[in-house]
Amino acid sequence: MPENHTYRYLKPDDIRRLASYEFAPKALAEGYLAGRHMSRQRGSSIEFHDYRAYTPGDDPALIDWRVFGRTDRYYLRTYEQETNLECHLFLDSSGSMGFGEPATKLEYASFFCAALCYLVIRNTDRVSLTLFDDGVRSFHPPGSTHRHLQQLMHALENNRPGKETRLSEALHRSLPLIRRRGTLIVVSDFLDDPAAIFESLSPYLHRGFKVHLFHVLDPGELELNRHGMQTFVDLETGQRIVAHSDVIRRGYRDAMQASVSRLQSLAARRSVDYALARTDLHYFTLFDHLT
Amino acid sequence: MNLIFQNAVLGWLAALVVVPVLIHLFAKARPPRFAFSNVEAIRHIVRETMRLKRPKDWLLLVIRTLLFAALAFLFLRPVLFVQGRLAGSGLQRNLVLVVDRSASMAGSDGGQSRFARACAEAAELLASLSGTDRANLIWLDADPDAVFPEMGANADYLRRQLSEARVSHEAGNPVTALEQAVRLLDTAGGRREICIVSDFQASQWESVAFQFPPGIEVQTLWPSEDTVMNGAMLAIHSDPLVPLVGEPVQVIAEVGNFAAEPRRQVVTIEIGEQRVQREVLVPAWGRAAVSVEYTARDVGPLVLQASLEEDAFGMDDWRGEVVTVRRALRVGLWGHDAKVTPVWRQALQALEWAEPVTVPADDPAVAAECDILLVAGWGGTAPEILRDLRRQGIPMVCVPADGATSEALSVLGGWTNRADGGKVRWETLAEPQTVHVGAPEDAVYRLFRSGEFGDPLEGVFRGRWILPLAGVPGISLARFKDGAEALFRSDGNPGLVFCALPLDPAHGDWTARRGFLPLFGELIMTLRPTQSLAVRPSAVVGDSLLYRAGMVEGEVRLRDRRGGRVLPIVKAAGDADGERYVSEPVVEPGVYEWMVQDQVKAIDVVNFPFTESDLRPLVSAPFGQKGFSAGRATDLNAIHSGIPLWTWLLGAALVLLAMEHALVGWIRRSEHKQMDVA
Repeated sequence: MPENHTYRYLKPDDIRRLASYEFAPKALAEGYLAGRHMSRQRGSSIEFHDYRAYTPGDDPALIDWRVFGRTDRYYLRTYEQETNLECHLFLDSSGSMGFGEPATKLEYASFFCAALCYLVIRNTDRVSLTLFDDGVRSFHPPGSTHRHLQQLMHALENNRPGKETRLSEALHRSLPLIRRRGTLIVVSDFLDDPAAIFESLSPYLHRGFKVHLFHVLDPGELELNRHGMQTFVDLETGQRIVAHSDVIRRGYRDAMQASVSRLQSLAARRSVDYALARTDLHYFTLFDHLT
Repeated sequence: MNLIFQNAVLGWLAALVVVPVLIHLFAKARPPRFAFSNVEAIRHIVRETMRLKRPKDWLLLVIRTLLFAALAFLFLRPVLFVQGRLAGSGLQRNLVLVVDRSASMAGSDGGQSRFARACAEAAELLASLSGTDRANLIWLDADPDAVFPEMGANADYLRRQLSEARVSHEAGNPVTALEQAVRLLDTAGGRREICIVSDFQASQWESVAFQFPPGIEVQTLWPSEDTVMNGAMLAIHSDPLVPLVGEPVQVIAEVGNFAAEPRRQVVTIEIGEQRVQREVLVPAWGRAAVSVEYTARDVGPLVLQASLEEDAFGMDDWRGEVVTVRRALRVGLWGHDAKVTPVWRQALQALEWAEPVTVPADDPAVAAECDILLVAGWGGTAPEILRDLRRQGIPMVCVPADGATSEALSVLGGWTNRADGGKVRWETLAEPQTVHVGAPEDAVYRLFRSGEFGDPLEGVFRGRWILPLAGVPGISLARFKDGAEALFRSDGNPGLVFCALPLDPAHGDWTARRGFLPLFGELIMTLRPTQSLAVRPSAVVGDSLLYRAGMVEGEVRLRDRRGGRVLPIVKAAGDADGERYVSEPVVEPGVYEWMVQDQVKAIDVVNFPFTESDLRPLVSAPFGQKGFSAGRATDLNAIHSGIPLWTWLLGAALVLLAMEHALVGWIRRSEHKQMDVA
């Protein structure tokens, strides 16, 4: 364990607090090590699953002879296989994630992702990390070693807010890179077309991924608590617009509320977990949505 | 209209108009920058908000542009001239002010009298004159007069005159005043102007149709066009007008109401030392009368006075009259006819209330002192003398002589189109005729209705005068049996009775009958003047009083009874009857006493001219559309010197500034409201 290392997004104090947490997503995982996570792959374990007809090539040891004695047919007993978890993290690194005070949304999300990586690897599960903005900036394939964790921490530390948010594009491009189903965790401000996002999530859902969406928003974004005339400069495009914060506040709040509600609605319709991650709340509270 | 700019060199300031437009188009607010994650959402909201805000911005731009335009033009000092005035603006002005100071100008409709306002406005007009201009001032009253004999340059003196002037109690004489004004401008060059400052009282001005010579500009200044509600004492007189001692008479006072609503008035009537009050409701724009019965005990002048409670126009709230109480009526015997005059004289001597007075031939002065004239033997000569006496209110009984033409009778009676060539002629009757009553209901026969006094026309007549009275309006009091007129009273006032009856015993026995004397007396009594129109009107303010004295021993003075003030008098040329004293025109109504050695010898009453009581102004401008009419001197000054628009522009700029401020405030409030909601 990296207690003797100091990472920017994984502090020793946080590691100590994480000792009482366990990452145990409800969805079944598809892993290559038999472990504590229930898998839909049939395998050897003590949990009986079902019978199936023998086909050549099957291990004859798995034939249930009692059933053969009663039916004169070869049936195999199948068991629920416990396997290791693969967690795929998608971290939005677009320019808009650079917003926020005192910590930016990207920093907040990085803390959360670092903790997740730590929890997953601590359980000897595998975790991948995809950093994206308008495309996939970097992909770190799944791994469960401390070295892998170290690489992920370095990736997070070197990560900087980039261009526009194209989550749908990132999900689309990452689909071939993720071979095994598992848990898909997207940490983003979702400043993208929600319909396109969920369209891109569809293949993952179809493959049986358990998807969690963490909508990272700064209170300043939610409330627009600025006053007076402001020149608003877009962090992604650099576009400017002059507006009186006090005048547009009401409309802005309504628009943000509508945006959050729409994401919630779309997520609920597709059995996707959605959680609003306010940066003024500690990221540990987000783990409640994963248990 | 012409518009000039006094500061045209500053014309470049007009370019300021584009300043707000440029600011609006190019100026951008540079608020602090704020790096934000979700500008697209803000852009969408701003787009929605701008839909509402854009009209406000345009309105603000329009107001600010107008504000800058007003400020730019303000510095250019534009002056607006009425069309045609700009050309003559450099000429010398010759201004004649005709300021009305007739009694109606004393009307007050808000604390300040019309006259005070008129003087102030006139003084302001004078103040607008330059050093080279000429001016004069004519006071419009009963006898208009100019301050300077010709146009003068001393406007300050005229202004001082205006400040010290007082309104008169007189009626105005507009035509004379305007004639004087035109005469003053006859020889003047440059611009010739007459400015009439008056209330343009309808009763005084509506009949004025003065033709101004070409080249004279006429301006009228109405300091007040409001109608002052006024109650007025219009008349007081006795009925009969010449009361006799011991005879009950009615003292009648007439009250006028020059207001649109009925008014209840309390009238105080003073008859000599007696004082009574009567209340009367006077209809709107109408008049009403109150009466008091009185019996005179003493012979001599009796002063009748009536007054109202004071109102907004107090000059006409008092009226007086002097009646002379006689022991007997003075019945003048004019001319001579042997068949008539002796009988009249004898009959008059029999009546204790009648005093026969022989009028020397052609002496109307003596006749004018009589209450009634009995004319006999008049052959139609000089009918104008008798006509004038009638006009003075003297009733007559006339027995014309042979040869008097119908024309002469028409002149006497005041009839028209009666020149039918007829003449009076005597006719001796072959058969005696009786006479019967023609109008039994007439007041002449009232005494005889009881039958106590017998038949008023009892007797027979052997001769008569044939009178050419066909078609004459009147009443046939008595007719001969054959229908010829015997006693005929023509219509009109004062009364005029023609008699065709012979009075001498040779031609009838009527005068010896019981009914003659009562009928004669009744005829005289019913002819007594009873209405104010029939008598000589008393003096009004502006008139001079005349006193005819016999052999005077001592100084003659004219005194105002109320204040004891002595009025200046002059001794006019005397005549055989004595001296004549004439006062200067009396300026205030009141009772005036002619004193000789501290004894009152005669009393005169000077009344307010009742034509001044109706304070309604003209409905339309006088003299048609000629000239300019204005309510204030500044408006007239503006016609000549142009209307400086800078005050208007300054006002407009202030209004626009206020609008801009209000609009900005409103926008901010609405924004704050949105903030509060947010």
